[in-house]
Amino acid sequence: MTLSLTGVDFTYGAGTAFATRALSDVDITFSPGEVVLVLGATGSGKSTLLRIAAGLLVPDAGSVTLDGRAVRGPLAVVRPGVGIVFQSPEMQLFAESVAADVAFGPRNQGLSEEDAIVEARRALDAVGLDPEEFGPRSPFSLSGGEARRAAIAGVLAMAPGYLMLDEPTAGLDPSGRESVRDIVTAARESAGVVVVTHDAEEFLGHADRVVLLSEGRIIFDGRTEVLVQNPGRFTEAGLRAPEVLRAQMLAQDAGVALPRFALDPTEVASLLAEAWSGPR
Amino acid sequence: MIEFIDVTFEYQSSGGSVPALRGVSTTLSPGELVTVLGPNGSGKSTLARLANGLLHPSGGRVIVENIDTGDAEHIWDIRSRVGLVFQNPDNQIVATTVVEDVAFGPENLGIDPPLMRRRVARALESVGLDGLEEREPHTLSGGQKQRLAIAGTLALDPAYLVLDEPTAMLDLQGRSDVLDVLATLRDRGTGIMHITHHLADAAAADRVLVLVAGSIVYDGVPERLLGDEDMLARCGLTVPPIGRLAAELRASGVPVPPDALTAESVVAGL
Ligand SMILES: Nc1ncnc2c1ncn2[C@@H]1O[C@H](COP(=O)(O)OP(=O)(O)O)[C@@H](O)[C@H]1O
Ligand SMILES: Nc1ncnc2c1ncn2[C@@H]1O[C@H](COP(=O)(O)OP(=O)(O)O)[C@@H](O)[C@H]1O
Ligand SMILES: [Mg+2]
Ligand SMILES: [Mg+2]
Repeated sequence: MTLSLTGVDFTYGAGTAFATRALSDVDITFSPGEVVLVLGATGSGKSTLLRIAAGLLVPDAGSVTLDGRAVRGPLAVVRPGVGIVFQSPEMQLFAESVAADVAFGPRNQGLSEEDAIVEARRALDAVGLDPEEFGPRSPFSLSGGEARRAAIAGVLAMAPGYLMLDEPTAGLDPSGRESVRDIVTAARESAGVVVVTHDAEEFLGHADRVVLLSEGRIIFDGRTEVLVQNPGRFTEAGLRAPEVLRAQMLAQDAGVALPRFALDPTEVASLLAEAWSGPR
Repeated sequence: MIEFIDVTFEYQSSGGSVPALRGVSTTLSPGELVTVLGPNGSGKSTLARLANGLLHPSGGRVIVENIDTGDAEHIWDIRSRVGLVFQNPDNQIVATTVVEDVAFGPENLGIDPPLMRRRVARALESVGLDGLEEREPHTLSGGQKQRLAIAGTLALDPAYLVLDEPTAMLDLQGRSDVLDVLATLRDRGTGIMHITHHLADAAAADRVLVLVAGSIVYDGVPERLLGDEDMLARCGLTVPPIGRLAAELRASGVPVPPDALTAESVVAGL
């Protein structure tokens, strides 16, 4: 089940004085089991790309296809469709209990009450919230990290074939970020995962592929390893490379000869220490 | 100076009272950049809202330049001296264009138009939104809105600036731009309290404050905190990859300082 965007253009407020071009000629294909990171400066079109891929916005030109079939309308309602976790999704928790909130999506997809409850329990388990303990609680009694996970469970309960997340760790503390990152990368077992983030460092080591957006255009789409070996691409996208990569770029500019770039701090330390002591 | 003197705070909710701060004492001086760290729910946002009298302590006192924030007569004095930038910029947008949004605060204070225009232009420039003056705020992306919220507060020319996770939605470049803005304002004499989840942001601070469950567990220079792994673990803080790289290099004999949390400071040791 591949999800493809072909030749997609999108402009907000088209035809008005405030028309803003958000995406231009975007071609991209997502596949199941893959974690794709979408990076780009603020305003580069990341959130727009997700909304179009999830069928929430209709492109002005080009097409979106799921399994070769053209997409019309929101894809969350079909099973397996495309689920989207918006920025700060916990703001949208609304039901009287966490269980009811998470069951809302599958009910909306046409599942029976019992089936929706089963799906909700499965999703709560998947995000590490014990359904017995958290199910009956009010969404408003949850901590920031718990509420974020409950909101992700609400999308997982719809059994998406693709899970799209917009800045899923923003505003969380380190332990909250780590648990969300683990949930997101584990979701590749059952879905294609697309993560939009401004914190490249957080997900880079966990992604199979990276897409760089700049002013609404894709300027890089390739394996994570390829990007790591070409960190100048971050700069081209108006981004800063993660600090560990930037340290290697600075070292190289200062004349330290590195055989290659790496992400893992231990590996980088040995590369740098070797090059530092090597030539003398 | 802003003084927190043995401050406790409890929220009243349907389930009873929720303790948010338990006997907090600290200060913020002009020209000082203080970074506040701590897990979700540790009381950071509560501390921010107490700083400008948006909340009043349940026990203890908060004093802004010798005025008690509980002194109702001077509350507007306090609010104009202590600018607050919140977590969610959407709730702070009031006008239909970027430039009007930033001008809203000074306009309300009756500042004369030429001075106001200068302040607004400077505020927009310092957050990198110059050129977008006529845009509708709702058309901005999350990160741009966050910078707009900062500009709106800067235009009021506050003596103290309290920012509650202002960079949560920004990319690394945007974050570093905002940190540069904060450092510049500090150098010009503004007292800054910066609440963040990024340990690396602490490296640029004069002082770091760590809150855990409503109590201060660390109040001191960044170097000592950043060099103490046990302390970091107790504070629930994780060392970013660049910090791990610095530690590994130090262990293999490269002279990297213990508070090195940027690529520049690590490479300087090579
Ligand atoms: N609802 C909207 N109306 C008008 N313009 C918008 C809207 N949402 C986003 N934009 C504009 O579209 C562009 C891309 O925005 P967005 O997709 O949100 O970027 P990102 O998520 O990368 O920050 C930006 O110039 C932004 O200002
Ligand atoms: N409006 C409120 N009503 C009840 N409890 C609250 C409210 N705001 C915060 N709290 C509680 O007070 C404590 C401290 O919260 P807060 O200051 O927001 O922490 P932080 O900003 O460090 O995440 C937490 O236990 C939180 O749940
Ligand atoms: Mg976005
Ligand atoms: Mg907070």
